[in-house]
Amino acid sequence: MCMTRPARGGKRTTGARMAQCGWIWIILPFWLAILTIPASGAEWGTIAIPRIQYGGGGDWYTDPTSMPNLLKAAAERFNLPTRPEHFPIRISDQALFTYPLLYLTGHGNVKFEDQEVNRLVTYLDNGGFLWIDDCYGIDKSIRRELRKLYPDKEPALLPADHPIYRTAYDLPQGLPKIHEHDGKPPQGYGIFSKGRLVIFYTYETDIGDGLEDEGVHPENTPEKREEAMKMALNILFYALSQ
Amino acid sequence: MSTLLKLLGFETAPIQTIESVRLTLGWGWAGLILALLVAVPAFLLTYRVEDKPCSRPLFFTLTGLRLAFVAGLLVLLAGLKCTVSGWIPQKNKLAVVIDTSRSMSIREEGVSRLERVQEALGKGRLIETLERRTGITPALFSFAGSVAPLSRDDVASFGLAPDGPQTNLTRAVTDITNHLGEGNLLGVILLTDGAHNTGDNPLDALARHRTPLYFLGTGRTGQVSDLAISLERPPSVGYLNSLVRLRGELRIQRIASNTIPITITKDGAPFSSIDVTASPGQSRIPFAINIPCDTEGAFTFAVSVPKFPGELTHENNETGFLLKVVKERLKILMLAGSPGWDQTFIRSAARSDPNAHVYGWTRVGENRWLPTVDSELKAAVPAPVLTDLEDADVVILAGMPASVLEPHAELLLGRIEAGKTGLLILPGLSGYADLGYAGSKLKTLFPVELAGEAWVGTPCSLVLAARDTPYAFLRLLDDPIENQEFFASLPKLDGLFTYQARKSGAETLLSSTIERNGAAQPAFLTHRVGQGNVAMLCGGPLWPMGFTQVPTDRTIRPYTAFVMNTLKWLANRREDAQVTLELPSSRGFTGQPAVLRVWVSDTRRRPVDTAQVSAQMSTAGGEPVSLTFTATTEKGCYESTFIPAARGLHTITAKAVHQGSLLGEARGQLLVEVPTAEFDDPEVRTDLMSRLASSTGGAYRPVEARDALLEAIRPTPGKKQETKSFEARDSGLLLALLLALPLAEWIIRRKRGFS
Repeated sequence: MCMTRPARGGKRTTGARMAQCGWIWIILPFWLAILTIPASGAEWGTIAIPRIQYGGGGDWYTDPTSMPNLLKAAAERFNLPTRPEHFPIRISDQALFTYPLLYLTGHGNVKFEDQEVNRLVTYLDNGGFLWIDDCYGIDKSIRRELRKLYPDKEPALLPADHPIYRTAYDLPQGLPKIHEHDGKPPQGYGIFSKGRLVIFYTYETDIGDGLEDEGVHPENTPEKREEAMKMALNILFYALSQ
Repeated sequence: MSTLLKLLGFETAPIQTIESVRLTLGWGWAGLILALLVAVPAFLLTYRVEDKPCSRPLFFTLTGLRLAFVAGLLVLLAGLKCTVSGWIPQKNKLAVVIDTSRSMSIREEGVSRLERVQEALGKGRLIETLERRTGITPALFSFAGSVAPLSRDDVASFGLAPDGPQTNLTRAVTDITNHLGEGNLLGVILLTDGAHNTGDNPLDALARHRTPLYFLGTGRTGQVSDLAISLERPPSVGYLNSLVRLRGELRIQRIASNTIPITITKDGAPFSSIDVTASPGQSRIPFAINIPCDTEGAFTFAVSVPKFPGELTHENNETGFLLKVVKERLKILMLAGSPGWDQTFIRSAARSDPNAHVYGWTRVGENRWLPTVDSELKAAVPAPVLTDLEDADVVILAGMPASVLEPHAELLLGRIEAGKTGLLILPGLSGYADLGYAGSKLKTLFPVELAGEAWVGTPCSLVLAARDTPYAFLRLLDDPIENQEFFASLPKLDGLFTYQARKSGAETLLSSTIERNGAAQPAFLTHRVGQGNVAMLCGGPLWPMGFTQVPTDRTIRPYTAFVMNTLKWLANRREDAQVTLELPSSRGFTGQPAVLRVWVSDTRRRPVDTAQVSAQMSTAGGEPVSLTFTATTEKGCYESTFIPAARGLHTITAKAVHQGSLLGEARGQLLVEVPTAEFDDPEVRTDLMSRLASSTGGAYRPVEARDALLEAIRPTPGKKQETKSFEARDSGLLLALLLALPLAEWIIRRKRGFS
């Protein structure tokens, strides 16, 4: 739009109007040229991590800022292309197969329907990765559901020298303790299928709490939050690199 | 017109009948008019008739003479040219061509097709009748795959045998018209069954021919019964503990049974069998069989169907192929500038093959690299150790900066040029020009020029560049159309890196739906670097394909098959020798040339261009044949052509000698079959012959109705169009006329007392 003002001392002429609008016609081609120049940097293969919206009554939506913060850190610290958003996905959703890494957390009961079990196994056996983070109280139900997924496989406790603790950052002590619940040590369990770690289950630590925005959990010191971030980045890098 | 041109000094011979005369100007008509528009007013302004009494007729005469001179001068300067077109009488020619391909041996009602031709030429006195009617002695030829001239004695004695392995109507007609000259060729009379089976489609290629084609069709329709089996590009190499897919086709022509058993033998011992059932009316039935490769070695497989009485031939009831099963240890080295899902999914696909071993280095930060050792991710270390480059079969480059690879450039280039390592280039996050490859010696590895690299962030689908692709790793589904549709239906790429130019010899395997300057941009390219294969994926991400579930009867999913077969093809398995033998296929056909190539390198794997390369080809019970190889334009590559004479397993031993010492020997095997293409479609192709005749202004008749066909040939006098051009400036008469104009003016002026 061309904003005009009446000329001083009289009626505006067309020529004067043209002269005042002229700068637009000079600048417009430059803007068009800039817009049509191919971007020098590519934007492809963007990493996004949805959280599983499961049944059973558990609060799948807890720690809403955890994944956006993790993806922001991956972009800032490691220059990875990410989409730092908090968004849910159902296992039955068609879009499930467009995300190679899924996040599952909450308190309370987790339940997968039979169709969801088949779909999730297909997803995992074809290259998908699931990170389960026990916010508190899903251990019993998630172990039951994991047996549905892989009846012949028990979650195995990963030792502190496992590479998942040494990808982006070295965590020589293994899984860090972020949030105290039952006084138990933090434990990282894995389920392997076809020679690959397909599920990583972090228990008795609550990494997601540590990833939340500053102040959401005042008891988490900056050091604790950094430890949680390092571990979360290690999980992301492990899933990307294994 | 001819007299006028002669008067002007222009000779129109040899044109006898002038059809048209055209005047043109070198300046163009517009140029002349513009020149006149300038010259005439200038003349009129400056023209003087002194101040003496001058009558109007005299004034107009003087002015007219001067104007005519100016205009004539300008016309000559403008390059007036006269172009004459006309006809030159020509002697007409006719050609009679006899099909001697193997399909002419097909017998109907107890008489072979070639015998029908013999009857037409002998008892029927076809040539003599043709001569009498047209007054032209026809040129005689025989043809199958190519054309050979015949003499009258050859035709009279009729020593022709139906032994041509293929029929190429397009080449036959083209060769004859080129040989005799199309302009004065009254027609080509073909005695054939029309069973064209090789070369360009004659309906497309011959429609533009001005020479009428007259067909005398030999044979009877609807009388042939035959059962044939053929294989489509049978596999030549299999990898231990994997499967190879054998595809083929059954052709059933008037065979009573609808269920046909296919029997496969391996080195003469029963191996497998399947029953193929034809639906009513179905004459071509595709089939596919998985062959497990559970033992290492070279095996001869025979694939056969039962022989029914009364069949056209039993030669096409059995076919075979050679399969070399190798113990594969595919070492894949993945070098990544940053972690990415594509790499994860390729590693995941590689895990499905017990012979594949993935090693790799992924950069996760400054001085932080994640190593993968034998498919297992290890803890991070400060710097990569690239010793695995020394024995990697395939290197996958995924955005690794050139500076990291530069110290190992010679090793990598040397191994790829020697064919010991293949390279798969995955797109980096920000392209390869930014990673320093444009100024690196490693740029030779890329199938594109890195200058002008640009990202186009438009989602695009993959397009299989050629439906009938020769690359097995692109054949994921048996049906070529379904296979092409499969690629088109794969999840879209987010975009592509586009490049201004492909390197010479680079080939697009998969293109995209993104267009630039009207051309589809390549998504997956390949090229050869020395003896090594390099493939480059220009867009991403690739991994969403990994989730695609395609209904297939294979035990291997297409995504995994695509990744693994591509990697194995890139690995370009060659024996660890200085002399390697390359066969176009493990199968050959009698009478059809097979081009053999031998690659020679010295102990440092450098190509040797001055070696003496020879080979011995031997068969069981046959005399060995010696072959001499000549150097090609490719470094260290020598070539020879072998035309097998007999069917059976041929063993080739090639050796290379350089400066008097033997560099090495290489062995290979070639299974030679009798070509059965002539019997693939044994019916007389009356439809094809009728259409060709109609499109060229000829005629089709069965050979028994030859007199009716000869009636259709009009012996019109031959003529040829000729064009000649004459420059007006070359005419002495025109020059004289032009000079006469100022002379006449001068005389008049002198007589009337003007200056």
